Amino acid sequence: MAISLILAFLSGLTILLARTINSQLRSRIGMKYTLLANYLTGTIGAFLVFLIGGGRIPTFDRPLSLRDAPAFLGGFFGILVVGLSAFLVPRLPAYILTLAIFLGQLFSGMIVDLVRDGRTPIGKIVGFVLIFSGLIVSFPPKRDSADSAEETE
Amino acid sequence: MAASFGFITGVLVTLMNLVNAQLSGFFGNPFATALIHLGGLLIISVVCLVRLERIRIPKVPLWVWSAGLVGILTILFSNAAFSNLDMTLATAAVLAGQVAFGMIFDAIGFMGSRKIPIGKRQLSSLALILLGTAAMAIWR
Repeated sequence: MAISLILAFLSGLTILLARTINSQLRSRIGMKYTLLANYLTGTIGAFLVFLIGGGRIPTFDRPLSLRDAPAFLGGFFGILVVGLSAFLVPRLPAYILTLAIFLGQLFSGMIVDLVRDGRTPIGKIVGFVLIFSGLIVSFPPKRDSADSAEETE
Repeated sequence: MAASFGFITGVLVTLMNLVNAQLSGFFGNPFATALIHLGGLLIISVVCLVRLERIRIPKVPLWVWSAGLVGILTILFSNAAFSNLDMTLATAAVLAGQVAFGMIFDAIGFMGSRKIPIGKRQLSSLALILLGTAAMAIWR
């Protein structure tokens, strides 16, 4: 569990890093082509990583069926998320958008876990409340709606 | 109204992490990561082709093109995390990471962003988020 937690934590770094680097490109060629460049380098790079890692795919314990089709929708969701965020950035103060996205993530994550496990342990509810308070604390005390929307994606 | 779309965006992030972890269960993390990128590439290529604009490839330092490579790490890391942890716990850890590193980026004014020194507010926020993540990890 510890390693997975560390990787999750580190993905927070890579998300921010990519976003910051992208803002440099986006101001020059726009969102669409920045994404195109990202996915182009990302796809080539990811296939190289796969090949360098030995290029092995685990054997299937059962054949894939149409039921498994949603598993292939990750790329689609990814584009949708970036597109929606880009649409929302000029329409919301940055901290409200960040808060809304984080809440949506946590809340839906709890629903998924509830469906899987059939229960919500108390630690999750306490954790949710603590994280929510942490997010509220982090935002500027002056709730000025004219606050310019910054980089949030 | 717009805020509820923000919430929906968050729900989509969860769905994305969920299906990506599922795909890495089928194909292993490295190949799943490649497939996920390929899927995104196909979609964004179509989007770009629908309204083709002439753009000039900008003269920028090479590292400006590296965000896509950093994105590979994001998918590899989150596939591993979301395959092995609860959705809620993994999400909390990702958020904690974003808040923690965001604070550091702000403090050093990373890549020309406005410098925001780490103050009491930032530290108490991070403490609460880490505490919440720990509560989720320990109190099961």
